Amino acid sequence: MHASSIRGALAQVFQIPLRPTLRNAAGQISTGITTTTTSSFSTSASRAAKKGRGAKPDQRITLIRYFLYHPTTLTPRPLRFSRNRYLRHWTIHRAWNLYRAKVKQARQLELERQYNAMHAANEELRVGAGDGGKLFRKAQMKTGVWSIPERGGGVPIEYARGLVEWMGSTGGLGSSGTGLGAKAKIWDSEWTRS
Amino acid sequence: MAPRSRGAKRIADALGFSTPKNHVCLSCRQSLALTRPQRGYASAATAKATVEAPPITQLSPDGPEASPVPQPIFTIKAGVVLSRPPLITPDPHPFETAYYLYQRRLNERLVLPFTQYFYYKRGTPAFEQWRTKRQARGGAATRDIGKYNAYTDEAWNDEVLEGDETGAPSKIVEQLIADEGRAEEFTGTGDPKFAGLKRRTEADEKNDQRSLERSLSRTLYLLVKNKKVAGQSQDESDFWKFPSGTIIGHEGLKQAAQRILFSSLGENMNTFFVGNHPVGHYVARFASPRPGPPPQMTTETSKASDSALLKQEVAQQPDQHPSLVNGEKTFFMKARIMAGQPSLAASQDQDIEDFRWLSKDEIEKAVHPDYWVKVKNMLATQ
Repeated sequence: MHASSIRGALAQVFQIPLRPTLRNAAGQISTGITTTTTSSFSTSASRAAKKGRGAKPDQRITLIRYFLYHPTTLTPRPLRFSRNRYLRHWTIHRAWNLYRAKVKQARQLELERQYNAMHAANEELRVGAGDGGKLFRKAQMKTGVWSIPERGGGVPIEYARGLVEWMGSTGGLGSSGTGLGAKAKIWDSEWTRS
Repeated sequence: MAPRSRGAKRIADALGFSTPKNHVCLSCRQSLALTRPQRGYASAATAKATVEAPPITQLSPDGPEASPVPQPIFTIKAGVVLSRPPLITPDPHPFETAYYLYQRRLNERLVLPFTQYFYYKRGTPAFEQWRTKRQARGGAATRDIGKYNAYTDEAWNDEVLEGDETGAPSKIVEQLIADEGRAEEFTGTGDPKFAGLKRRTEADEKNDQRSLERSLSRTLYLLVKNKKVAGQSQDESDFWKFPSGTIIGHEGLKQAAQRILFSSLGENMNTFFVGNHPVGHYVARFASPRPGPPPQMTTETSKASDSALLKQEVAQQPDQHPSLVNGEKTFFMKARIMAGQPSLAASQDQDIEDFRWLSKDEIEKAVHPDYWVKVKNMLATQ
């Protein structure tokens, strides 16, 4: 009773349509069950009835509803700009788009340069190496390029090392020592071919 | 053809008024007569095979019999562009930093209020701590927008002034770490203000160009300086180059590149060669023809078959190894280093004086200008 009154008040304040409570739903289910089952060994319902409480709605669900629903009058929140502020915003937006376009174009051009260098090298290898293109044909063999590392090809697992924003000083890659404060290695310089 | 007509033709031939191929000119007839005998092909092919089969290291581009004009002769070399990929994200542009802070504050103006009682129970120590820190931040729940509260009368004032450090990543990290208060667990030997997190290392401070822990946000390329050889000009020994060497025997570019890298800088590098084809090339023409490199013999036992083949060839055609070459063509193979370091002590050839790990703009200063023009396009900027 107390909980439902709170819900009613909240629904009024936050303008949420009042939904069927869990208690009602549970009551409906339980009545359905009691009508179909005739078992007298079920003690939970009678026990709850004895205590005079019935099935309570889970308080957590009430809280989640309370905190995650927000009044519709405030959503979305208003964002009001003055004329100059809006012009500044527009300028910033344009500047950002220009900047991104420049970055993108620089990347594209770099890829093109690399591709052209590769193309020129392969063409030179084909016609200018003086061996009738033997080295070129050998270089174009794709055997093992997409294999798996265990079979002597493919891309090694070390390629999975991702970029990070900061390098830590402890732990991490092949830390030289154990426990807290052990110095982390950024690069495994002592690696040896076994 | 019927025998009768054949006889008639023979008679006509004998009488001389039916000469075959009268309509074909003299030069064409000669050439046809040259190619007529069918057995000549096989013999010519075998002869060609025995005369040719030159070693791939030294030859003019079109073969020795292509034209009477002597073609320039080039030494074919394989080079290695060994690179260490960047390990940390690139440094953000100041405009990016400012823009992200601007957007975060705009977002703060737009989002719904933080539901603090859902995450912190009222009256608990965690709640008190949260409330204290939130008040210290000026009331904002977000920890990366500085002192700004979108629920006050000053909410309109969400733009920072020029030169403000609020949005700088280092500032934000520093503040987050101070907020958390567990810095000493992770600091190690680093800066406790940043809990040991760093973007610059000791190698950066000392500018140790042999170290791979330098310039973590850039791709580093391995460059070497060869030892001075008698007869070389000053230019060649003074400038840095990518490791390169002559191809031996029948090996391909990738095998040659691997052999050159490991024999000149030691085997203790975990490398991966990206693909089998070259990513760039460099053609050097000498001012005057100079003696080419002698046909080398591999010392490794695994290359015994190759070297035996090569010896055979040399024995068969000693004149096919020209003593003078007009230049060299280096084809660069792309490779990545995953672990390890080059070492001069472990090198077998001992022909390298020094090595360095350089980023693209440092390479520009270290190499010869002509070399730079040829190699710059295959290098990555970041």
